[in-house]
Amino acid sequence: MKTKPCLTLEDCKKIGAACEAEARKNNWNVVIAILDDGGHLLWLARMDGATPANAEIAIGKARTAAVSRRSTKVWEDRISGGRLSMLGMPVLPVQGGVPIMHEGQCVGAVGVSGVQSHEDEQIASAGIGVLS
Amino acid sequence: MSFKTAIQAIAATMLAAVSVGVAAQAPLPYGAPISIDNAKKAAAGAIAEAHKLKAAYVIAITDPAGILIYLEKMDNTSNGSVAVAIGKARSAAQFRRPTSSFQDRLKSGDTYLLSLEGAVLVGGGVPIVMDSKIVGAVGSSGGSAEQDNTVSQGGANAVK
Repeated sequence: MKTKPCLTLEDCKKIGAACEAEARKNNWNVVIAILDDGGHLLWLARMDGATPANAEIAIGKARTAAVSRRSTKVWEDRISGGRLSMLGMPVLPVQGGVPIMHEGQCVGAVGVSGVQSHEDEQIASAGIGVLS
Repeated sequence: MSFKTAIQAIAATMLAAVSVGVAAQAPLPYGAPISIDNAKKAAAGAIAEAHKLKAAYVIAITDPAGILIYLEKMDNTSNGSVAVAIGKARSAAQFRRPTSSFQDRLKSGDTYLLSLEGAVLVGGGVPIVMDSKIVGAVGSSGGSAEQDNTVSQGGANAVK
């Protein structure tokens, strides 16, 4: 039987704290959502000043990255490149969702919403960086 | 009884009825949404109660509109508990009362509550009150409705 790694709440808090630190360093107010590989919410924080919409969007980006095993930027780029049919896919194709890979397997994803898309991704990647 | 005394007696009875009604029913007004720091404090209070029960829990903290501010899912909690915890917090925030009060009323025969849009009728959602204003709500899921209510109450008490 195959075994797979699994995010713990401790892992999530570490990732979340690193994301918050990256956001605070830049004076950004964002929502950070961490999901498992099935797209279930494990941890979420809405920093003061982030909007209710950001909470929904962060979860949507993380879910897309978690269940498709690729960053949401990949989806955004494909659609901007002309593959408009992909708009019909059940994904949120906006940069800022990044899968969490561990030992070659996807264990979940981080989604961030609140600033410019590339900055959202910068925060998500900074968080995931603490695992390595 | 003179006419004046009778009027006074009626007035006193009406006043008493009104004050009891206000004390028992009128929910507190909404305030500004709880800060992320206080939301984390509330979650820690709820988690402490969950540890006492030795149970795995999802704790959700929402703003007065019922939108998430903070969420934690302990290891080995059912995936279904995430939506349940958020739903309880949202109900407590939007109706400005604990979901346990709906559960009690349903049990005593208020079946019309079943048709109340967005209401969760299971204990475990509790409004967070700071400075006599509702600033958000705690929702938890992982044990029985009574245990969930205790856990959420622990969260709300942590920021009182």
